[in-house]
Amino acid sequence: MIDLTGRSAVVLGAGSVIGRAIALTVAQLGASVAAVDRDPLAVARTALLVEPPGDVRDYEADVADAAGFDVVRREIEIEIGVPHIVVEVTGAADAVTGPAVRAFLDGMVRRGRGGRIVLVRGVGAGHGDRDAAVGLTTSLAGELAGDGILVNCVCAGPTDTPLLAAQPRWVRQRLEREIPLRRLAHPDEIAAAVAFFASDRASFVTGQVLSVSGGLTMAR
Amino acid sequence: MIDLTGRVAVVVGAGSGIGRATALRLAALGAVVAAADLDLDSAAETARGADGVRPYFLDVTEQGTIDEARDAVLRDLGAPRIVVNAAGWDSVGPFLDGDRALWEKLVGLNLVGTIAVVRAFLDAMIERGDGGRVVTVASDAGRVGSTGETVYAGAKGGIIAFSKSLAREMARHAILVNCVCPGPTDTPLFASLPERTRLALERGIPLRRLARPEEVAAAIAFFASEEASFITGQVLSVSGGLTMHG
Ligand SMILES: NC(=O)c1ccc[n+]([C@@H]2O[C@H](COP(=O)([O-])OP(=O)(O)OC[C@H]3O[C@@H](n4cnc5c(N)ncnc54)[C@H](O)[C@@H]3O)[C@@H](O)[C@H]2O)c1
Repeated sequence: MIDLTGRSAVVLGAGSVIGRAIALTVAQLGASVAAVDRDPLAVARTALLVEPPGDVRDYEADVADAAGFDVVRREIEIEIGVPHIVVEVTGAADAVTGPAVRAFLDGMVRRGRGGRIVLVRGVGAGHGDRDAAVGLTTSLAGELAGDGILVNCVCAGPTDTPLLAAQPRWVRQRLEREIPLRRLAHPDEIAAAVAFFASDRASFVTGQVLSVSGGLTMAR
Repeated sequence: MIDLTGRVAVVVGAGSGIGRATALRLAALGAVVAAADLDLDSAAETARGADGVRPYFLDVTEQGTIDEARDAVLRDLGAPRIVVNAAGWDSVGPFLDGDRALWEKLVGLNLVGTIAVVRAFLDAMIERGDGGRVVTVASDAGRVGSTGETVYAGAKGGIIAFSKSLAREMARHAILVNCVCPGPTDTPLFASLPERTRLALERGIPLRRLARPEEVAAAIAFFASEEASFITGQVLSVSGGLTMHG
């Protein structure tokens, strides 16, 4: 039902397990995807995993290196066009990722047909991540509403990734006990929420933060 | 991607506005829908809008009618996988002018009505044992307050807290509970508000327009779908940025 055919999407941090799931989901729904990561091997693997006719191209760029990032941004805009959708899942600080996301905004605003930005964050210890995410999401959403660019955030709860698998078993068990649904998230479950925000289905949703956490967090 | 083929869904308040759009949306995604409303004629009108939608009479303020509708739905369609309550009512005016009868109507219909509808279907959902979805409809008024809607906002805030707590209790039955908060939406309910209130509300929306009922229904359908399999106890505003946060 969600159809992103004809859209172009940039996924920043597409070499991570969650970023990969997002890039592949968005591509499967029909978008042309620029998968960006500072780890060229990881993001190449993302591009390799796409099932035809999905279109995922990999780009090596570090959001922390403004000049280098700008070169890649221009390359992306030439190859897949000014994006309709920008997803940011690098895990870097907002001060770093903010400018990288903003780098795509000029083109999006100029084109004048709106767009979507989806930030992906963790639910975080003490929910500090979440509070920071609320700040960036709502300020961008307020700034961009007039241009029809909708900005939302997905907060991922503990997710079944290699990072977690590498922890001692009790870490995982304790998390599972704390989560009302008694299991970890699957990366595709995070990606599904991102796809919803990126789609026409969410045409009146902006400035929102949605936790995909099995009930671990129920803020406000 | 969102596919509800064969799922049984109950939508209360399905005769108009957001509830009607939700019933039609779920039906379009393949669900078999019980469209319940106080106004049976309008529920029947909704049912004529799509295949697989059946009308039922239900008044959320009358427990007997809830039980009867529940029994009829279980008999006709079986235990639901999805329960949505979109029945609601508002009356705008200064808090100081309201009386106890008005408060009781607002809280009884919006909050107790939601509680009673959801409660009625949980036994059958738990007994069937393969989980389910409950989606409640509150309001941005319940998140941030709203002048002239003070008691309504209190009832809607109650729906939000009720949904989160129920999410915790139902997690072990794999029944996920989430809440959608519409902002000003182009429905008969919104049209019934005083013009001054309507204009003020519309001006406050960063996207500079009202929601279409279909846009609210899309968020409800998302929570009802497999796509939301790890989401519970959450609140999502569909309000064009009127209130921001999560
Ligand atoms: N329209 C808005 O701007 C807006 C904004 C925020 C929240 N909401 C909420 O969204 C929900 C739907 O609102 P809407 O705008 O679609 O309203 P609506 O008036 O168009 O539809 C409400 C439906 O509920 C039914 N209903 C009313 N009382 C009932 C009862 N006692 N038992 C059973 N059914 C009953 C009505 O017959 C009607 O079909 C409500 O909970 C409302 O509070 C609406």
